[in-house]
Amino acid sequence: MTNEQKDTQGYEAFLKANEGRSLSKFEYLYMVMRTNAISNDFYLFFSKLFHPTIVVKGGGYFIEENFDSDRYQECIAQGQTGSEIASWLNLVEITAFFEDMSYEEAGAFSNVVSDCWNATLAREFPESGFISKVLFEEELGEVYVTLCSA
Amino acid sequence: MLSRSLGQDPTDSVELSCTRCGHFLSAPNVSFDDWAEQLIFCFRRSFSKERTTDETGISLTVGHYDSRGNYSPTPGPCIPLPPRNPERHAPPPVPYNGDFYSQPKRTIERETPTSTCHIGLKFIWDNGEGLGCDLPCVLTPASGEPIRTRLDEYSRFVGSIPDGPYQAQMLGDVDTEERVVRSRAEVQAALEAILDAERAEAAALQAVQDERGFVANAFYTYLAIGKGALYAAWGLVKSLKEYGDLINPVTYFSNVIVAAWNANASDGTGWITSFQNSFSAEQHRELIEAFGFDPSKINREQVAEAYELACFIAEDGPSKEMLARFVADYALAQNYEEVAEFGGGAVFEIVFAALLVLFTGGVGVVASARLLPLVQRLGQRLRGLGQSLRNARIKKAGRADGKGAGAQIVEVERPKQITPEPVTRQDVEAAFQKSKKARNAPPKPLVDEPHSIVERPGREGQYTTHYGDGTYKQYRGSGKEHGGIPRPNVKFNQLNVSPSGKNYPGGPQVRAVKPEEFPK
Repeated sequence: MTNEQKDTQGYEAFLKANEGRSLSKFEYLYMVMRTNAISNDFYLFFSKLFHPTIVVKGGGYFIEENFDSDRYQECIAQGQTGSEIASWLNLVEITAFFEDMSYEEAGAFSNVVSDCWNATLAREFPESGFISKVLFEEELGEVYVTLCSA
Repeated sequence: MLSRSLGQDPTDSVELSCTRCGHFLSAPNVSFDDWAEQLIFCFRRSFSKERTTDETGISLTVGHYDSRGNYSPTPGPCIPLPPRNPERHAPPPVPYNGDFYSQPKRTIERETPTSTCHIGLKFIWDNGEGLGCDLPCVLTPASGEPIRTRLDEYSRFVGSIPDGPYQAQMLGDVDTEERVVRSRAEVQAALEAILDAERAEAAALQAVQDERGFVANAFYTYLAIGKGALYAAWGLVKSLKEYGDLINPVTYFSNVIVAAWNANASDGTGWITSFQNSFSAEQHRELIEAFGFDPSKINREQVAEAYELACFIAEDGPSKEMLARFVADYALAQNYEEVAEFGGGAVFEIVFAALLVLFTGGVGVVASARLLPLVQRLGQRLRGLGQSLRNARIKKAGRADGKGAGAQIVEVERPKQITPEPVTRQDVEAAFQKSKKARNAPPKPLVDEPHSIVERPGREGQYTTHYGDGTYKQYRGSGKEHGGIPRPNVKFNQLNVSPSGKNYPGGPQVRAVKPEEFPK
């Protein structure tokens, strides 16, 4: 975004609307939450993107917030192993979440998410043998984060 | 059956009788042609099936042949043909004078006036450049028929016409205004096709945005169309190289082409030659490569042609208004918040981008396959519009009145120059984000009913099945294994329901391919 093309709903626009007063970034969050009807669930789940709940099931480690029991049963029926199933079910496409993020920005953002997942995994399951990875689909312009067998 | 008095002059009194059909014609002043035609008519009729009654005495009449030789089962009447041109007669031949080499002049019906008035006309643009070779021109002398001619290689007409005043009109027989109107309509249709494609994609995204609310939408970038944004939005710019203002190939190109357009062509060379002299092959290569194309596929003349067409289009009010509306609509379809002020630079951007794709076939660019043919079609239509406007200008100003022998130069005003907007790295990056988004999505559905689109055939290829409700399934065969998701795989989504009861296509998921999903 260029200097001339300000985000009309962003932090700078917020400061400008307040005539240059010193207002913190959390004050901006407060403004957004007060002026928009957004469920608390949204904020909670958004924070889980960086600090997910990891559960163990059938020998695989899964991101609980991204778990789909129907798909899990389908994979079991197809004869996939726990670690194979985990690598598919844990996939989160960052470029789908943030469609207007550039490929490079999505890559940088995914690295942050992946680091958070690895930190959570190391803290809660240090012997899991799983790691978080960033997967780049350059041809398709897609970036994913997943939790899979190391 | 048919008798003629032998020894008589055929142009004099002729007795014609047709005993078979009972027709008897006695014409005192029948020409030979009329007599022959009547003869053929009666001869054909004599070959009708009623002829057999002569030999057998039994009437077998079942039909007749008409004057064209077509058979009809109904017996037809014998109707004498009326004589043709009874008033006109060939002039009596002059008796041979015995000298083969000194025959009298043949008499013709219309006398051609003697051309004794020598004139010279030269049609040029206001920079001194000729309008062009072989352009049609109509010269209308006060006395005599209009003379249709063409300009020579020096954009001139030199010749003789009947004495007296005359009027010269370039493209006198061409309805240039009608062609302009038609070309505008064709461009409008091509622009609408692009907008429809973008709106369809945006509609699918909007459903997601509506659910996403303010916070997630705050991540949206707002960028202005213009200043190279369209190049990148259509995937035409691949280079993210950091260019300083002085070495930016687009900046340099802009400076050179404007200078060449305004240069005086008094030395006889065209403005394109002046442009080529100042814009080296190396600079051309850098410019075209910055747009992601193979420089061998588009030459400097074609780049100059794009500029010239854009200049003509930018000075045409309705065309400029149409393109400005397109840019605004395109920005709306893309959810852009701002639209840059629409100027000549934006006109050039549209024309140049479309012609780049047209000339090169779009090979090498990252624009979606869905949009490429539409942009190509736009290129064709814009080319036609630019040429129609050029012709309309030539016809409007390319006229001259002369009083007799002499030479004159007719000057036609060219459109003013437009300045192509330099493309900066920031503009390209901002727009590139949009093009990434476009690449991300599977190809848009072609109809509202379930159908499949084969992007690459075969087991290693790629295809997308749309289910008609916004959901899809994309099979991705081959691809880079290293660092990516195992191939082949399937990306899909499902239809969900929001708390407000509204259906929307859910987020994408990726899984392994089921055996029945492999292409056969």
